[in-house]
Amino acid sequence: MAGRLAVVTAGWQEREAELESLAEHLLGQNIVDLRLYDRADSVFGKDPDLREAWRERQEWLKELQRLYRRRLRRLLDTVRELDELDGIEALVTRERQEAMDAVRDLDREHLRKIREIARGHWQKWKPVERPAVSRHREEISALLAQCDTLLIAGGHVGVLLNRLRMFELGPLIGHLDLVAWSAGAMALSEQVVLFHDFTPEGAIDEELFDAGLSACRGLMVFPDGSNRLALDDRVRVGQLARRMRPARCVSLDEDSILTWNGRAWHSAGPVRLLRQDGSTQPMDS
Amino acid sequence: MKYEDLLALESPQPADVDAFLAANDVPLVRPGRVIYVYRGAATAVRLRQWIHGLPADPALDRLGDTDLWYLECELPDGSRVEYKFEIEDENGTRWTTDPLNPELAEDPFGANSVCHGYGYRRPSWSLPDAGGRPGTLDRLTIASRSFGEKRRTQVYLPARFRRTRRYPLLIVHDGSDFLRFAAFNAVLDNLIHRMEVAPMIVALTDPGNRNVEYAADDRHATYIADELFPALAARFNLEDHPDARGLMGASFGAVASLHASWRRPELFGRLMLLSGSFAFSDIGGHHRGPVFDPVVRFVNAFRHAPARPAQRVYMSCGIYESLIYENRSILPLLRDTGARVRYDEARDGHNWENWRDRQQKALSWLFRGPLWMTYE
Repeated sequence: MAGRLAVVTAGWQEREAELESLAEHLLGQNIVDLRLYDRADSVFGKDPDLREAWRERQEWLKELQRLYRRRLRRLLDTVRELDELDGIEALVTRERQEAMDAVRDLDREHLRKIREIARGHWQKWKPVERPAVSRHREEISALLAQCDTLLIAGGHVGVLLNRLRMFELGPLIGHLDLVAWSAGAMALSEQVVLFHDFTPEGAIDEELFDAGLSACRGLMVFPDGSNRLALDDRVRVGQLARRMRPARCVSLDEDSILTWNGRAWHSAGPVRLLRQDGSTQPMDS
Repeated sequence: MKYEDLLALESPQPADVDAFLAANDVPLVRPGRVIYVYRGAATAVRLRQWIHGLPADPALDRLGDTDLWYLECELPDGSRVEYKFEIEDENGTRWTTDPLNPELAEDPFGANSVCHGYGYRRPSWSLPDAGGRPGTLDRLTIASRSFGEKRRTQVYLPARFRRTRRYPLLIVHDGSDFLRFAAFNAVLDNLIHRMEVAPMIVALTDPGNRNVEYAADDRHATYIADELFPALAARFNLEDHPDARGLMGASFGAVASLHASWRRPELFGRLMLLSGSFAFSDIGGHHRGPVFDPVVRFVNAFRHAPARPAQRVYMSCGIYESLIYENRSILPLLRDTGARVRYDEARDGHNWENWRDRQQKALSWLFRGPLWMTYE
């Protein structure tokens, strides 16, 4: 990567400053560490009113997610049940379609509520106009102005998005090349979906978590897909692809690279597209 | 020398026994079977095991005129059993752990030898990780009104603990024993590090008179809900909803957990019940002794009018325990209350390592970690 690099590792939380392994990968290139996690801590320390408001916002979003999850479970159970059901094909097909539509409606409505809460909070508290935030944002803006590329690492996707939003990074990065991986890549999508088929308690239902920064459109990325998604389960893969359409669901693994050249996506390495028929295939450019 | 070759010898000699023991770890574990072996002078050797449904003290056979004793038993794959040998000689009868088996499990009464059945592996997350970042133990002392004396509680704080961050709370009965005998600090460190369990504050309580206080004693429930919990909430930044508060315990500790949560369901939304001593009587009395009288009264009352003790419950019991019937009996009642119950059975007995081995599924079910939110 040419030019000066800035990096966001807020998703690593308390390990944010541990950049040694990243520096090794970049062969000693200079990195400007934006320290968003640390800066947010400083903001919370200096502005207790905002800290309390932020906490309350998070509580609301958490509660909303919990309620959504309960409704989602029922709807997805219905989808799965109908997918296994035999019967008069024309009737069953229609019921399946409507069951999936109900899931998609819930997802859409959930995202609308998330945005509503976030917008209400933003309008009421105007974080970037508060001295504790604006001072940091000006510093970040000055740092980014000298950079050519912004790297966004993975980690906790909720924390990452939260910090990106607190300092309203979107308008500051228009001139930069973006390189993002794992949770960082998810944060650049239009919608962020949580997933894991192999937790100790079994597969979790894929749940819509938030809107992303929408820097990468039309794609929904699933990092570490081979280890986190049951890609050989055609029923699950097909349901996921149908649920997220028209976005294309893409599984990424180590050495997967997706590049947007301004007109189209180009893929290299193990990038797999999840298809509505439940199969997966290498992603075409 | 192989076991089968040793048995086939017409007149086995001490040198044959030496060769056999030099070539084999004992007990010998095979698919579906185990061969226990004892070497020493004795008039009789018996296996003392705690497997409900099997004889408690089957006798070992002596190999010819040697001092080797052996017993071949059925042992389903994946089992883990604890045992001792009962040695009878001219001095009388004594119990001993297996001198040829280094695997021991400790408990408040001493130690037992451990036989890992075919396919059993100690979970990697239960082993201390030298490279990991451990949590720390804090202490809290409460002048308890319920018990009229001071009570001390150890408090586990996760690695990278921050005063400004809110944490879920788990209150553990027999906390010191969980630390000593179930590697609970290593378990918490590892499962939190693996993000399978939420970073949380864990209050490790200990009883005074355990058989009384944990036997559905109202004083204990009051102590937990109205003394310990408020003291913890005042000292630590806790998440403020029932989903983020739990009780757990094993054996009588499970009874105490269920009882306390049943009395205050609005307070505790998470419950872990391990090998609960849920003795009951459908009619007439019971046969478990007077210590169980208050337990039976409570469990009978619960069975008569079940009420949801928590939103989410994890239950487990070893299938080699005498309590398996009681646990299976209470399971449908709990489910009927509307609680979301995850229930596991293990090929194990009533012991701390059984309870240790359940923790990954239990804790991740009750306090899901950020694994599904983390993409490295």
